[in-house]
Amino acid sequence: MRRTASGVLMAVLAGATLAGCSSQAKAPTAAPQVTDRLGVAYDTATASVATLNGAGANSIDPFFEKVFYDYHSANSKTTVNYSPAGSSVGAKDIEQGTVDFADSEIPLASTDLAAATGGAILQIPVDLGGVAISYNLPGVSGGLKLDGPILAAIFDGAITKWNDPRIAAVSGATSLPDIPVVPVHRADSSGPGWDLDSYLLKTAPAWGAKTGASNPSKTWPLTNVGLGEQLNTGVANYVHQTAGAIGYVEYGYALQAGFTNSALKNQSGAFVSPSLASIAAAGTQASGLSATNFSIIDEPGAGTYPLANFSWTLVYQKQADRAKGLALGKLIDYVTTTGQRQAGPLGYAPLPAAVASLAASTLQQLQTATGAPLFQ
Amino acid sequence: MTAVTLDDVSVTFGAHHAVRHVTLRLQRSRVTALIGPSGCGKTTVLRAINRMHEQSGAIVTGTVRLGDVDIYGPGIAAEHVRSRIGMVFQRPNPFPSMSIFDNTVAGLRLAGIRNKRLLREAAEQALHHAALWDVVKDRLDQPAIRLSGGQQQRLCIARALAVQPEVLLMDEPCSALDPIATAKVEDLISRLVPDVTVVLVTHNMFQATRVSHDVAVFLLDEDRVGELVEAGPIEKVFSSPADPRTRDYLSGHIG
Amino acid sequence: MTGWLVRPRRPVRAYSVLCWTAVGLFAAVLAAVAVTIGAESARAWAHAGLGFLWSGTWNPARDHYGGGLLVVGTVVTTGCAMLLAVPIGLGIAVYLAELSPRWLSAPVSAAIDLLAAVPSIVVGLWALLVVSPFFARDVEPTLARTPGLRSVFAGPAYGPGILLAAVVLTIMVLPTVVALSRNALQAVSGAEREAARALGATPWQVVRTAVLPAARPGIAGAVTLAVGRALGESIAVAMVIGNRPGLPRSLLQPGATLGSAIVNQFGEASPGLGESSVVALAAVLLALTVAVNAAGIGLLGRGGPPGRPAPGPPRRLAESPGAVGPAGAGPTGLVLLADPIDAATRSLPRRRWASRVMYNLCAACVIAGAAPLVALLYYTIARGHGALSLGFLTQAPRPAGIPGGGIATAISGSAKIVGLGLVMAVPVGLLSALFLYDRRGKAAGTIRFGADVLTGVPSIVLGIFAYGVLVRPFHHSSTVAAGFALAVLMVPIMIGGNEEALRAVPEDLFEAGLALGARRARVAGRIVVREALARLVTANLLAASRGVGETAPLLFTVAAPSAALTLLIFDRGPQAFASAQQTAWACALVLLAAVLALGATARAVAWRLTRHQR
Repeated sequence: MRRTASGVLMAVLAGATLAGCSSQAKAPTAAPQVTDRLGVAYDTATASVATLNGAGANSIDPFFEKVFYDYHSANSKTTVNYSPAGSSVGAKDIEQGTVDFADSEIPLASTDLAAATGGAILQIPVDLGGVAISYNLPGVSGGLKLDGPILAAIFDGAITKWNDPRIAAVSGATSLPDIPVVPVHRADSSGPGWDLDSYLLKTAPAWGAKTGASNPSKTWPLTNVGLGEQLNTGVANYVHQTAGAIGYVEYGYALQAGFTNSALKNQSGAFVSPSLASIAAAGTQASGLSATNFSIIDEPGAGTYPLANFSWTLVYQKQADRAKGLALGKLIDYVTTTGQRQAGPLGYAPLPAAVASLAASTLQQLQTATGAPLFQ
Repeated sequence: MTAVTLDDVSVTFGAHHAVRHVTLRLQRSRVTALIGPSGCGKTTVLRAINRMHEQSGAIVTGTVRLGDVDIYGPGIAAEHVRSRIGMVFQRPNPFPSMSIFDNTVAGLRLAGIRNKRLLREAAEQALHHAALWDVVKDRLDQPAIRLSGGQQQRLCIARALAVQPEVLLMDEPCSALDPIATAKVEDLISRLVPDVTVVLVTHNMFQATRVSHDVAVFLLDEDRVGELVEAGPIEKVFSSPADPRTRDYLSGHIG
Repeated sequence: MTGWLVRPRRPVRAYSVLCWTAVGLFAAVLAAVAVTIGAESARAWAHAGLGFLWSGTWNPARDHYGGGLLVVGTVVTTGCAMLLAVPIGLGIAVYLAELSPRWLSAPVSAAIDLLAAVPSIVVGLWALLVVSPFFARDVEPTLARTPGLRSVFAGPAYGPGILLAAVVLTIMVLPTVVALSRNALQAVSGAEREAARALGATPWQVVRTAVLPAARPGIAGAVTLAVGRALGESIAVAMVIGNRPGLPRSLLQPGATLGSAIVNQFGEASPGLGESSVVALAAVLLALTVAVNAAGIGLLGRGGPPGRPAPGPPRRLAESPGAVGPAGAGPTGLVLLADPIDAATRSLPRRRWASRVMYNLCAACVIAGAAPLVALLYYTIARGHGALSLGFLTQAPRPAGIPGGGIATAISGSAKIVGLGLVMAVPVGLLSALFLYDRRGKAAGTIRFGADVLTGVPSIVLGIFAYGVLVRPFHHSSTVAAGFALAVLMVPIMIGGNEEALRAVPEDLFEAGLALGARRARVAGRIVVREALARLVTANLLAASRGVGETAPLLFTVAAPSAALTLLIFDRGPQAFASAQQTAWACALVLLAAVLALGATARAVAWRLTRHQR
């Protein structure tokens, strides 16, 4: 438990937080606990004060910010700090136990899970997002269509000008300007990077030869081409201010920035632009979703956007501090249920019903320090 | 033959008058000593002669002429004046980062002379002239600051002479030297004429007697501003001063 | 023996104990920084050996870690920055010390001090949002088209890249170059200037002949310390360099430095070899900066030019006995070999022209140095002031799309972090300085050198250090860890400033106190500290203003961006929509105001002191 109130997202309640630090020991004691059940509102009267620190995916930040804000407005005893420093940061922080929860678009692999210092980690899907291929071409208001091989040629430096006939051949856009193509990748490792790498590996035969890898990587594999920028924000800002730039950013960020995005060819051969509907369509393609079977890249369907992914929140199964564990469980419960209403306006698709129930059943596995179930 | 003429020269620093109404002729090929108590404007007058005071924000009024030329006249550059009227300072100030040779020819190099043979010969000439050649000829490449104080001062004189100025201003050149070094510099000063006209500021009456032909006596007036009381050949001024204030001053110091 | 001469039984010498404790703490921290960075990077060294230094690949996916390209990037970027900063900085210093009219020198010096106080995150924000698009659109294409420059400025105009990073570094090290070289120039004695002037030198010739050569060691020291600063700058560079490690073939190409790679990689590096390798980068950076700074300190400490005997007190210089030459040996007449006066006269117009050209160049350097400052202040105010309101300052941040909200958490967070840092740093800084004031000898020399070296340690390294000793072991990021990182950053600055303040108190005052029979503690506390109080306050305020503007030490120690002003700028600045950018600018404005207020208070205190003494 944080003993200080720094980093409190809502300073208005800094006082309450400090008070809570001293009182949190006297956790709810007796009586029938509505708080002990998932799927019902957190009882603000019996809830204990908690500050929850999280770190992780940058892509989910706009959604988290809004949902945490709403949650705090309704449950002022829970304060959430989220550091959107990147999913790998989150993964490392949860492994080291320096945060209460983390978030990553790519669930942790078994080797990473084994490195965790606090025991078993639960991975809970919390949102469904897409990765936009955004570009900045003055005078071109949209209509760009790309497939895997051309996108690969752009990101491996083979295509250097926008009026390259190869782009025109795929996209059908013949009047693209004679300006340099500036591909922007993430300088940090990222979920969107993994998604795009995965898409290119699946659809562009030459890509794997260029990168020398057969498995997708969160670290962008070709760092010697184009420009590296930190986080979605860095890529988005660069695309925003530079004519000729093209980069991959979380759809929510592209929406916020008002970018024009390319349509991508999916497994069925259809060119689909990112939108709530096309990302939701990708979500419905998931079958048997789990932390080890999570990819929804390049799925079939006439309206399926090929660059989509779920984002996963990571928590320790055993919560040493019961009161905090309850607060954390209730928070994630809210995010995966009521909070999903906030997804659409921010550029995320609500979780499909099957995934929402996976989230609920995973949350149900939370335990106290002794291994007893945290929630009834 | 007048080398330098000062006509009603006054020097002010801001609102403060340092010295005023100085009218003086400095005779060519002679050593003129400027004497007087501290703070009476000797050095100020000296520095007005080669426009060194401009840097410190002093205002000079009246005229100073080198030959017929008004050195404060329009179109006359201070740098030009200074290359014709050299100066030696109280404390030896060779350039510490330069060798003996480089110090000697510093003025020539500043004037744009690059010819190595010429510089070499000029350096030898000047060092000979400053009675330093035999001491330093084998170590011209050594840093000048390794020389002793008296040698440094003679090097500074050589440096000034190398530019072949018409007038050499010397501001108490021996005040930082011991008696032996002082004797050498004094000896040197008296050898500088007739090639150069020397103006020497000194506190020391005996030094004035030993080396100078003419003397100009400065005293403070009732407003504590420096003024020129009397000037003329040294025997005449010292033996039969025209002004009673000169007599009082001299009797306090010599008599 | 008379009884009263017998020493009374001493009370526990609390003062001495306190001083030793403070110095011990400081020394422990110093050692801990080295040990932590060493130990945490040990695994990387064991894995890659010295090959780490020249291997070029950095691929965490395959556990390939080599810092070679980053070292190259760091050296190239710093080198380019120095190519800009040294001539411009020297030009400004020469202008200030030698050529400027007096009335102009004070405001220009104040502006340079101001530039030194601008936090690097604000420079980074401005460079990213204003300069980068300008470079990409106008500057870089022009450079790429210019004949003769094409080979150096080849390739696409990205905006971010080595050139932009070098420009940012130039802006950041310029105050160091200017301030220290100006001091060196001003320390040259007037006698040497007069000597040159009396030989007929033009103003520029005076500078070139008499001043610059004598000031060379000081200038070399200034440049070296600036190099150290440039090597270690991380956050602002990471914002504008384009983050693409590679052998630089063009200055327009994106690059990466040790610092920028640490900023980007440390947070996410997987525990074990990955993290150890990032710390190894920090170790390389630490070694580089310590070596460079130690050299700079050595150069600055050695007053005169090489070979110059220590300036002693001899007022009367004796003729050395062996050197007496035959005084009359020379010829009495001068044979005219050439007519130097004529040469001087003929060359004078050219020399005066050259002098004027150099004067104008130096003045142009002042403009070149002041222009970024003016632009930076203009943009920060123009783009930030619109967001400022009482609500903005007093409300917590809100998610995008919800109107209202502000930066209250960041303001209070920064205040808490800096406050905590001060609570830790001020006592240690003061007591260590008292220790140094009171003692000469090896221990004091070592501590002083340690403080000087620690002053130059990159703040990102201190961030890693604080993470290693406070965040990871205690399993959460915290104000305490962030405050500790800032304290480590501020302590050496305080020690230096405090000691200078104490030394400004005449030593005979201390002795007078002792002569009254008072104990050292009492004399130090009651007399010296009291006399030096204003200067001590100034020194500590200046250190605090440095702490307020730091970003790198907070990067790995604070829970969320909304918990510190600098982090909020780092988070909001690069967002691609207007309201977030405006928040960043407004934060920058608040931060600038805070830093400047601290600096102004410090100077006001100092000014009051000097007025009091007048």
